[in-house]
Amino acid sequence: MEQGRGLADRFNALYDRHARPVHAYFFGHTGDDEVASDLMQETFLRVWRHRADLEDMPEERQRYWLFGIGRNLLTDYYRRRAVRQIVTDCETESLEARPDPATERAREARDEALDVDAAIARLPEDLRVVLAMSALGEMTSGEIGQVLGRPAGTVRYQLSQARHALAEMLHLAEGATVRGGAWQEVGA
Amino acid sequence: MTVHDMGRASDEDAALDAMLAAWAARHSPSDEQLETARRAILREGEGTSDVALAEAVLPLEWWERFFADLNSGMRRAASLDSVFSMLSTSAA
Repeated sequence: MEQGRGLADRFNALYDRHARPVHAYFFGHTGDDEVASDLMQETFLRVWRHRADLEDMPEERQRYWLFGIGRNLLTDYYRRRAVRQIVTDCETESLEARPDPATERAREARDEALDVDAAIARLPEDLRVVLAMSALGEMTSGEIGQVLGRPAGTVRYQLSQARHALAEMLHLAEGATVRGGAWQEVGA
Repeated sequence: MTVHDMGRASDEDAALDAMLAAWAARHSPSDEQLETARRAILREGEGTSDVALAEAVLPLEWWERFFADLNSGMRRAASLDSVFSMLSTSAA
């Protein structure tokens, strides 16, 4: 009983510490709040079912283990989505009208509007993920690097690249020289 | 980089930081949402263990039927044994 209580406390501490970073990780990959929440919940449900494994697990290892579960769930999600996409494509192919070039240009112009969500959604996935984990998950570059298996320096460079690209997309950088190392970590 | 450029870059950083903070606030789950999710996880997790436990522990009716079958099986075996021993005696 005492052991069960201890494991539940350990689970709660893990949840308090990592729920936001895990959500940010999924949001960075999928760009969808709802999907990110579902995947986050599923990750912690798996952790709960295997909470006995948490005993004697060092904190650093816990994060790695937790995001490992998340990575597997993300792979499953992509696989399911790919299957659904194929089915949807087959169903709608005959009904879909050929895109009108003028409409396409208008859509592109709309996409280029000064909208942060759209700009971030257009970032390459690896940049979007590090940006989300930093801004939403409030993780340091070292922590992000540990989870994604990249050196902290690479993460810092990618954060800087993401900011540079965003500034350009949002026309903030017009005529200005963007500094390479402009990124400041939260609390650094 | 000129002083003018540095000033502009710093304004740009501040503007970007503000946009990113607003973006993070829009997409980050609230404390309440996280608490609701935690309760759902624990409820579902506990629910699963209950089902697993129920599957692992067989109901009382099953055990009663098992022992009743075992009992009648043993009785049948015992009576058959006596029939066989009677047959072998009369054959001899």
